Amino acid sequence: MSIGRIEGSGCGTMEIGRSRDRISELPDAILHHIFSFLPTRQLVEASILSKRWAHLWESTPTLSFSSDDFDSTMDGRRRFTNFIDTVLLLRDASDISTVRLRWTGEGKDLEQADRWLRFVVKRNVKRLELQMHLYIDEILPSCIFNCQSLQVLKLEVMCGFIGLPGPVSLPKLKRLEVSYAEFLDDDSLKDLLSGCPLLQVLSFEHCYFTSLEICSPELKSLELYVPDDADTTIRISAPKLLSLTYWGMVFQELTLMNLSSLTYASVCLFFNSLNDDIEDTDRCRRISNVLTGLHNVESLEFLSGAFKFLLQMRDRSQSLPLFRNLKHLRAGISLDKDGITGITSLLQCSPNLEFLVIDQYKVPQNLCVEGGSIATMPDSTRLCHLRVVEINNFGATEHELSFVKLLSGNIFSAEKVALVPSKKTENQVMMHADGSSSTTIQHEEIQGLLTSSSLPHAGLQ
Amino acid sequence: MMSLAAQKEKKIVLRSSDGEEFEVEVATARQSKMISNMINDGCVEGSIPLFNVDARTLAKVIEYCRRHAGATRILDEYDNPNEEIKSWDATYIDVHQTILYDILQAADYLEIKDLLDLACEQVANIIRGKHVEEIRNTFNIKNDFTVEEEKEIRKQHPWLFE
Repeated sequence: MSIGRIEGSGCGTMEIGRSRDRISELPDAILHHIFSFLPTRQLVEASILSKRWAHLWESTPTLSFSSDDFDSTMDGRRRFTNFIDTVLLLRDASDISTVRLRWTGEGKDLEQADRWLRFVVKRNVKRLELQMHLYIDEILPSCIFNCQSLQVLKLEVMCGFIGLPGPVSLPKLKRLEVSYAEFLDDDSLKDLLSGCPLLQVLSFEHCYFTSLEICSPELKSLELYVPDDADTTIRISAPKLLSLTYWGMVFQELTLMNLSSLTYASVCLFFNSLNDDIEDTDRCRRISNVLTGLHNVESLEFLSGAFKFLLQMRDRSQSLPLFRNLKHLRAGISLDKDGITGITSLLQCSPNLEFLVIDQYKVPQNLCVEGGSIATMPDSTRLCHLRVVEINNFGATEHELSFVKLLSGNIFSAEKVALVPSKKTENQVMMHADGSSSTTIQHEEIQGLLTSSSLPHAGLQ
Repeated sequence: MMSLAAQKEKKIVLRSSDGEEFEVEVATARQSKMISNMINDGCVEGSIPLFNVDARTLAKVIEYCRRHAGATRILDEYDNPNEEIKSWDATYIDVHQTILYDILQAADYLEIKDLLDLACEQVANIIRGKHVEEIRNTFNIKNDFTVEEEKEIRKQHPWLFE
């Protein structure tokens, strides 16, 4: 079949029909870029497509091997390791920039992995991603911790243990992500961090350690997801840190020092009276310390079942810091009595707030504290800069309405107030719009509240 | 240093290979490393001729740059783009193969790294999981091996081509 085409200049070629093979016309570098998103197995298989494709895999800078791409039989396992041996043995002398190795299930052989990794370290690998099951007597190959060219290291050892094989020297490492690992001792963790002087991005997800001390001078982004049951203390001192994400329990001691550059923070402090036995006073102190460490932020996401302690702080001579720079606040709370009290305390310390988003969630009954009176907002709290308010999961309960009322008395120049109903109450609110009887009053009540505070674009969404 | 507002107002004219002119904001144009370097060197008087990009492709590329110029990323290459941008990207790149190659080559020529990544990943997604014959059909790749040559390649990885 012959179909003609009109050649234009460069890549804007007009064509008639579909017979042109444009992918084979792309330069090697772009074809390698495309195959960097695919398993190496597929690039080797592509060698049979045509002469253009026959030797592409021999120079690919990205190698991606996964045992999942092979049968889980003994035979499949052998093919997997033979495949990696062949690809490494037959490739040309060019550098390897990225290596991904996922090796799960039976037949894992750390000595073999060690040989492969030594090979890629010699080819100046920049990015290494390892996913493996490790057991207590297994140690990661030491060559990856002494790789002079490495810039990105991702380790997922799946409930395994990390004991470091000796000194660490990763002079170019900028990004380190470790997940599902248990550090055998705190010294190896310390050695790891001190061996990466240029580290900019650090993430520990679901890792166990008894104490973690982070004082990386160049660190810009830090993510810590601490397991619920980890008995751990964490100290962070990072003058260049811009972004912090932290998930942990109140009983896990978190100390924040010297975070003068911190701009974005997302902090979840979970609290469950069943699994810790610390005093309320201590809880207040911990939450107060964390918030004080965050006082420079411009954007704060704060989720805590421990919101009620924000109010108790005042009674216990703990205080909230002044969030002078805070412009965006996203709070995960329930707008019940405790929640309103907590958020009100926070608002009072945030004079320059422009955006407020409240994501409501339901607090388990056993965590609710009874008694006390609903919060009030002193006249001195003038949220002069508040422009946008959004309340999600809005159910128009008595407490929620009183909070909206509370807010509307203190905001002056809001451009938009959105009350987004929860899935459950959506129908109800739709009915409001239709003007049906029983709930219309509530709707009008909200509208009345909002219009009375001169909000031009207020309304239910 | 120009203020952000001033940068927004200042416009640059790009001329496609087929002679059409596009006026774009500086921040949009700067998404291209090539054009950004030209701006830094002060070579943007009049219009910038782009000999390798036609009007249809350029319009599409500018659409991308405009969207991404408004999205700030605090940590450059170490930051993950947000969900909103990701879903916009997915819709944007869901185009016919011909346009996809045009975008890909334009992104390579103009040095727009994120767009090149996006287009390459889209091509990879088309290839993913396909057998050799399916790939040949999808991309019109002609098998130019002799029987002997093909046999030789199959021999290298016998189990791969079972």
